[in-house]
Amino acid sequence: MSQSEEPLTTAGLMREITVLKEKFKGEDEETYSPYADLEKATVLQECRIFHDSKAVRESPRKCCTTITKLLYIVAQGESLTSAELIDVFFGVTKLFQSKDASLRRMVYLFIKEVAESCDRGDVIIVTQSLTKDMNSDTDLYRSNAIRVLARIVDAGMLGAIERYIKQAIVDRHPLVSSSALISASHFFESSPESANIVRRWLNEAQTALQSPHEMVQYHALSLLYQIKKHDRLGVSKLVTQLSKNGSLKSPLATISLIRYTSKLMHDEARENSGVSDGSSELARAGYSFLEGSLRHRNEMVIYEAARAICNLPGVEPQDLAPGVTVLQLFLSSPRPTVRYAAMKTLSEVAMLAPMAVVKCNEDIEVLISDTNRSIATLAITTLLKTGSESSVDRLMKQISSFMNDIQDEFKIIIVKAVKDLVMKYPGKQRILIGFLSNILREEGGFEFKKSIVNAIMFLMDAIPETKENGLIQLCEFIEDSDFTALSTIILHMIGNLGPDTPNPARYIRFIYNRVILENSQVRAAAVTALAKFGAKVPSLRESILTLLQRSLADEDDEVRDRSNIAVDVLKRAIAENDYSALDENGDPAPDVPTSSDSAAFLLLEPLPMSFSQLERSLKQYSNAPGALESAEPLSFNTLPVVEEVVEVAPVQDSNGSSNIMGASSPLASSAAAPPAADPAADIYAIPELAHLGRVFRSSPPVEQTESETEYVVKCIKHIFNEHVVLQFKVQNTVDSQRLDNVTMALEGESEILTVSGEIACESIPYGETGSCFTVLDRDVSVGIAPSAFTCELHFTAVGVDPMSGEEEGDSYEEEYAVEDLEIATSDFIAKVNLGNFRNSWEQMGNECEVLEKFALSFKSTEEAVENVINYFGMSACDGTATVKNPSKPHMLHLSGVFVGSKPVMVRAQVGKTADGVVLKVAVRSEDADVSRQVADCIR
Amino acid sequence: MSAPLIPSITALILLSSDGSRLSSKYYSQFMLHPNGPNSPETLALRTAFEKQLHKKSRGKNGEIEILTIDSTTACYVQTSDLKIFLTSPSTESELVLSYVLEGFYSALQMVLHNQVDKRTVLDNLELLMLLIDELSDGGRILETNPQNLAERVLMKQPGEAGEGTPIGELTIGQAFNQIAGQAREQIIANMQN
Repeated sequence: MSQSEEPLTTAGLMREITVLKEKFKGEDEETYSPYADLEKATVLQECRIFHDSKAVRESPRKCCTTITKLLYIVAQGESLTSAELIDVFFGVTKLFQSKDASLRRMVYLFIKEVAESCDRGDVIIVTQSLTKDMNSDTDLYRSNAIRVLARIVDAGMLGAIERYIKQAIVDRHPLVSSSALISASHFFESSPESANIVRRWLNEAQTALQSPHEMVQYHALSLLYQIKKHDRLGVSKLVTQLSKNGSLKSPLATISLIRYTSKLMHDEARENSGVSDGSSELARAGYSFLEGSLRHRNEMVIYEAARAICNLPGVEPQDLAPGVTVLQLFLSSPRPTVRYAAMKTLSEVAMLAPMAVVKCNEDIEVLISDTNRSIATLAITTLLKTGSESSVDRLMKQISSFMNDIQDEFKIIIVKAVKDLVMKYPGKQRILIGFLSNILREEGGFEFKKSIVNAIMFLMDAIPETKENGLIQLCEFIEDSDFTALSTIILHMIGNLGPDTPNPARYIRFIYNRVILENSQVRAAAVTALAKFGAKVPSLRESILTLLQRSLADEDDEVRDRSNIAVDVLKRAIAENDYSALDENGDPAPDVPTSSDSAAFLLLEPLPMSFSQLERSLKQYSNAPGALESAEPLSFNTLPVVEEVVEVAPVQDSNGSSNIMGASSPLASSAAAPPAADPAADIYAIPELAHLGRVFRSSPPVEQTESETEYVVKCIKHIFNEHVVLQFKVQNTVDSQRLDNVTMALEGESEILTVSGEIACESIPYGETGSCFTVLDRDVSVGIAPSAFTCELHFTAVGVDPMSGEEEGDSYEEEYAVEDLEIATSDFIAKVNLGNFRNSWEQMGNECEVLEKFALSFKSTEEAVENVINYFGMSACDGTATVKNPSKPHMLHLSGVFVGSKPVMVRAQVGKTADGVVLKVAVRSEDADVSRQVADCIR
Repeated sequence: MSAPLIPSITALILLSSDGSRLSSKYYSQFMLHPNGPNSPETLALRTAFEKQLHKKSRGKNGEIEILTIDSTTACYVQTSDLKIFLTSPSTESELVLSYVLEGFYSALQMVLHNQVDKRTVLDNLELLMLLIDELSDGGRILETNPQNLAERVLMKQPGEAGEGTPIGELTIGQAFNQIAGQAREQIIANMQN
C-alpha cells in the first residue's frame, strides 16, 4: 500500500505507519488476511464514509480500502440486495469529489463491476462526471472514463459523446487510444443503433492502425474487421493490403490477420461447395501469406499459421506438409503449452488425413510419457489413428502400462479411440476387445465403465464377429460390477442377443447369479432377461421356469410381478405347444418358437408405438373437440396417429467464439426432446371447423415465399378424413402497413378437392404472423391423386405510422402472388413406424399387394433412397434409410398410415445401373385401392 | 475447429494452494447461470469450476502449464502457495493464452517485487484488482506487456501528474517494505516475550 502516487510527506508517512499499526494489530489475533472474516454488514457500515465529504477529501486511502473490501466480499460470493447495491452505488458516486487518483481508479473499477447488476436508470447519473473525466488532461482518467462509459451508455447518449471518443481513438497516448478502440468494439456489439454510430469512426480506426504502438495496432485492426465483417470485399482488401506490406508489428494483430485470412478462404470454399481447387486468386494469395507466416519470428504467430493451414478446407497433402513440419518441431519444445497446442492440432489433422501425420509418429511416441497427462492422452489417441495395423499390438502394450496412472476422463477418450480402431482394423478385434475387457475389470468410476460398456455394445452391433466374445466379456463384468445402471443395461442386452447365439444356455448361469446376489433393480432386469430366453428358446423353457419360480416370493414387488407374469406365460405356452415332439421324419423340431407361440408374442413383441408416441397420441386425442365425451372405447386403433418427430439439428453459430464441443456419450445424449406442440391446435381453436372432426395429420410448414419478402407465407396442410384445411401463416414485415381481411385465393383443376369455404384473418400488424384458412372438400368416391393450386394472397393494405402504429394515409386492396401449392398423395400418409416390420409385413399378406418397377435417373443409390422416402412420405424402418453398401441393391422398408387409419407398408429395392437407378416396389395394405394410390406416389 | 476471430479470455482466477478463492474475474457469459451474475446458481457453478481447476492442476512452480475442462482450456502458473489460472474456450490458441498469462504473471511479480505469495497478494488486493482490470476489458486483451501493465497499475506513466518520482518512488516503497518487515519482526518478538 506504499505505492500510492502522492509524494512522500511526513503526513503521508504517518498515515502509512497508522495503516501498518492497524495491520499488525490484526496480527495479534492471528488474522491471516486483512480481508478474512469480513462481514457484509460491517463493510456496508464502513461505506457510510462515502457520504462524509470531509472524510472523503482527507482520507482517500480509507475509501479505497473500503471499496476493495466491498469488491472482495462480492467476489467471494457474498451477494448484495438491490437496495444495498443502489445505496452503495450512490455513495460511490460522491467520491468523484475527491481529486485523489488512486481513489478515482477504484471508483471506475467499482462502477464497471456493478454496472450490469444495477438498473440502467440509476447508473446513468455518473455519466456527467465521466464525460468530464473524458476531457481531462490526465491520460489515465481519459482512458478509464471511456471504458466505464462503454458499459453504461446507450445509442442515444453515444451520439452526444461521439466526438470525444473519436478524438480518443487517435490520441497519442497508447492507453487512451487502446481503451477507446476496445470501447468502440463493445459499443458496436451492444446494439444495432450504437453499431451504426461506430461505423462512422472508420477513418479514426484507419489512422490508429498506423500507430507505432503494438496494442493500438491490434485493437484498431479488431475494430476495423468488426465494422467490415459483412462486407466481404472490404475485408478482403484490408487483409490483402496488410498481408502484403507487412506493416503489422503486433503479434496479436498478425494472428488476427491470419484468422481473417483463413475465414475468407473457408467462406470462399463453402460458396464453391467443395469444388475449390485452391486455384483462385484469393486462395493462392491466402495460402502464400499463411505459408510465409510460418517463418515469422514469433512462436505464437507461427503456430497460428500452422494451425490455419492444417484446418484449410480440402487442403492438399503438399500444402499441408509445411504446417505439419512446424508442428513436429514444436512437439519437442520445453514448454508444455507449446507441446500441447502442437499435439492437439496434429491430432485434429490425424482425424482427417492420418497419412500426413505419420512422419511425426516417432516424436509423438516420446510424448506418451509426458508428465502432462493431457498431452500424453492426445499423443496416444493420435497414434491410434495414424498407426498401421502391424503396430497395434505394440501400441496396446504401451497403453496398458499407461492406463493405470491417468484420470478417468482421459481413459474415456482412449476408450473411444480404441473403439474407432476396431472399426478400422476389424482383424484386430480380439486383442482390442481384450484390452477393453481388461480395463473394464480394473478400478474406475461410472462414466469410465459406461464408456467401455457402450463401446463394446457398439462394436457388437457393428461387427458381428465380436458379438459372442463381447457378450461373454460383459457377462463376466456384471459378476462383480457395483453399478446398477450398467448391470441392468447389460442384462437387457443379454436377454435380446443371447438367445440367438449358438449356445444360449451358457448365459443362463450369469443371469441367474444376478437373481440370487443383487439388489432389486438388477434382480428385476435379470428376471426379464430369463423370461426372454424362455420365450425365444423353447428347449430351455422347463429349466427357466424352475429358476423363475424361485423369484415368485421375492421381497420386491417389481421382481415378484415380473416373475409372476413370466411364469404364467411360459406355463401356458408349454401347455399349448410341445416342442419336444418329433416331426414326421423323426427329427426334432427347430428350437425356435412358432409364429403363433403366445409366450414369444407376449414377452418379445414391443408395443405398437414408443412410449413418447403413446403419450403424444393420448394428448392429441384429448385435444380434439368432443373426444372425451365419445362413447367409442379407447384402443390403439382409435388413438390418433402420431408421426415420428423429425429432429432438427441445432444451427451452429458460424462465429467460433460460441462454439461448444459436444463430447457426450451415447447413453447420456438421449436427453428428453422438447415436447412437440400439436400443430392441429390452431384448427381446434376455431369453432367453425369443429364439425370436421379430428385432424388426421398436419404437414410441416411449406414455404410459399422467400424468407426475405414483404409478406412471408407458409402453408400447413391439415388432412381430415373427408376434408383438407389449408392454414396459411402470413407474416407482415412492412413497418408502414397493416394487413386487413387477409385471404388466400386458390385456383386449379383438381379431381378430388373442391374449395368449400374460407376463414379470413382479420388483421396482421407489422412484425406479427396471422393465419387464414381455406377448407377443401375431398371427393371420397374417387381415389387420391395429386392436386396443384395457384395461390394469390388477397388483403387490404392499411397505411400506418411506423412509430405510433396509428392509421395514416390510404388503404387499398392488394393482391400478392405466392408460389403454387401442391397437395400430393404423400400428404395423406402419416409417417408412422408400425413396430416390427417383418412381422407386420407377413401379417398383412399379399392379397392387396401392388408391384411396380420404375427406372429413375438418380446418380447414386443414396440419393435415390433419400428421394424415394420423400416421394412416399413414409417412415423408414429398421435403419434402412441409410445405405450401407452403395454397390449392392439396397432394400428399403417403409411404413405409414393412410388417411382413414389404414396401415400401409412398402418394400422397395433400389439398385444402381449404368445410367440411373432401378426401383422395384411392393406396396401392401388392407385395401387394393390404397395400395395402388400409394404406388402411384412415384413420379 | 476454427479459432474465434477475436482472441479473448473467459476468466482469470487466483486460488490459494488449498483451493480457496482469492480472487476471480469471469468475463461475458462464461460460467454464468441464466439467473444472473449474483445468483447462488452462478456462484455454485463457479465454485465447482474452481474446484476442478484446483484438482487438476499440478506442475512445477513458476512454469506455465496447461489443462482442459470440457470445452475450456486453462493455462496456469503456481507459486509457493497460490495458483493463477487464465481460461479461454478450447478453440482459442493455447499459445495466445499462455502469452497473456505470462504477461500478467510478470507484471504481478513487478508490482509485488517478486513476492507473489498469498499473503502479499492479499495485502495488495487493490493492486491485483487494478492489474486484472488493465490486462483485459470484458474478456478482450487490453495489454500484455508486463512493463506497461505494472506502470499503469502503479500509476507511473511518463508525463503524468506525479512525474519526477517514477523510479525514486519505487525504491522508497521498497525501503518502506523493509522497515515494515523489521517493525513486524520486532512486534512479533515483543509479543513472544
